[in-house]
Formats: sequence, C-alpha cells, structure tokens
Amino acid sequence: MNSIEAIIALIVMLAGLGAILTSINYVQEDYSQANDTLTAKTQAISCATIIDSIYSNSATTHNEELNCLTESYNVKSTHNNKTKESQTTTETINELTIEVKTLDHYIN
Amino acid sequence: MTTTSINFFSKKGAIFSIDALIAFTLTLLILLSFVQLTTNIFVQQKEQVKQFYLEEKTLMIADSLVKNRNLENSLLGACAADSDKKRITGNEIEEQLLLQAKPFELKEFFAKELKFETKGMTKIISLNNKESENCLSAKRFALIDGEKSIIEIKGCLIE
Repeated sequence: MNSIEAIIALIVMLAGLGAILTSINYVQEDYSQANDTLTAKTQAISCATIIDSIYSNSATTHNEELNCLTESYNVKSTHNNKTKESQTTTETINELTIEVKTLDHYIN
Repeated sequence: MTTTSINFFSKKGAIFSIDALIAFTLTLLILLSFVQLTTNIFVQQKEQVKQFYLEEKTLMIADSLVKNRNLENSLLGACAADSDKKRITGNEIEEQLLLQAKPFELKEFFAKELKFETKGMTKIISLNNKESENCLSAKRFALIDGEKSIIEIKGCLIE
C-alpha cells in the first residue's frame, strides 16, 4: 500500500515538475525575445544619440562602426531578427557611411 | 469501502506526503519569485531606456539651440551671426529668433515649452498643448541680445 502511495505521489510530483519546466521554457523564450527587442532598441537609441550629438555639438566626423540603418529622420537597428527604431533631430543623408545634415557655421 | 480508502491514504505514508507537499510548494514559491524578479528587471530596463531617450532628446535640443542657427526652426538653433567674422557665435542668442521657435515633434517625443528670462521678464513660449506626465527640463546659460540669461526647454514623452 505504501508503495502505491509513493508511486502516486511520484507521478503527481513528476507531473508538477513537468508543468514547471514547460512554464520556465516558455518564460525563457519570452525573455530571450524581450532581450533581443531591448538590445535592438538600445542600439537604435545609441546611434540616434551619436547622430544628434554630431548635429547639436557641431562635430564633423565620428569614426566608429554603427550597427544601424538610417533613413531620413529614422534610425533602425536589428538584433536577432528583432528590429526597433528611434528618431533623430536632424536628417541623415547617406545610409552606408552616415552623413548628417549639419548646419553651416560660417556665413557668406 | 470508504474506511479502507481512508486507511489506505492515512497510514504511515501520509506524513511523507505532507512533507513532500510542503517541500514542493516551497520550491514552487522560490521559482515564482525568481520569475517575478526577472520580470521586474526587464520592466525597469524598459523604463530606463525610455527615460534615456527623453533625456537625450531634451539635452540635444538644448545644446543645438545655443550652438546652431537654424532659420527653418529656431528651436534647433537661435544663435546670432557675426557678419565681420562670417561665422555663428555660440551661446549668443537672438531674442527675435528665439520668439520664432516652432513646435518640434518626433514619434515618441515632443518639445512642450521654451522659457527664458530677458530684461527682467520671464517669457514662456508654449510649443505644444499635448499633456504628458513624463517630462524633463534642460537649462542652458546663454547671452540673449547681450544679456545674461537662462534658457529652459521642456521635453516630454508622448503617452
């Protein structure tokens, strides 16, 4: 009798453990996706910050590779198939080597 | 039959079952609190990213205002121009340009208000009537028509 009870208890606990592991697996997948989204968003904001800084602080060049694509006022970044975007205060002219539409500081 | 069934589950093994149940419940609670903690970290990170976006945009607009001259929208540059040196003078603002500041809005951000003090008077230019609880002000020291002044820009997140 005791062995039957033990078997029942074991089955119940195994079922519970299975349910927990399945839940954790689902949660892990969600976290992974959330992490990718957050990374993509952070990258897009970082790129927008550099572009804004070039415009606002009258910089000329920034020699560092950026993991972003620009299109007019939008900056897009992709991380593990998750794409997020941010916006810049100025317009970017060129996509591959980013050229920022800065204002002239010398007048005619 | 019922008596047999009660006996079957309430013999020696019942103590072990309660033990196991308590242990199992505790394990579940620990796992639950772990999941809750991780979720909270993600929510906090999301909020921090939003806050950084707001800070960055507000500060960059404030910087741009006191360092550039933008005739399309003077909110992004209201500096005076020195015709002799043929260049723009940073931190020297033209009040006339400042008064012509236009609304500025991005997908998740808008400039709400521009405030400055000149000739003993505080002037407030309302740029957008949208309401938002998540706003931030950035101040910059500058000369407005040759007079020392503090310019304040208020930026908000679109809700």
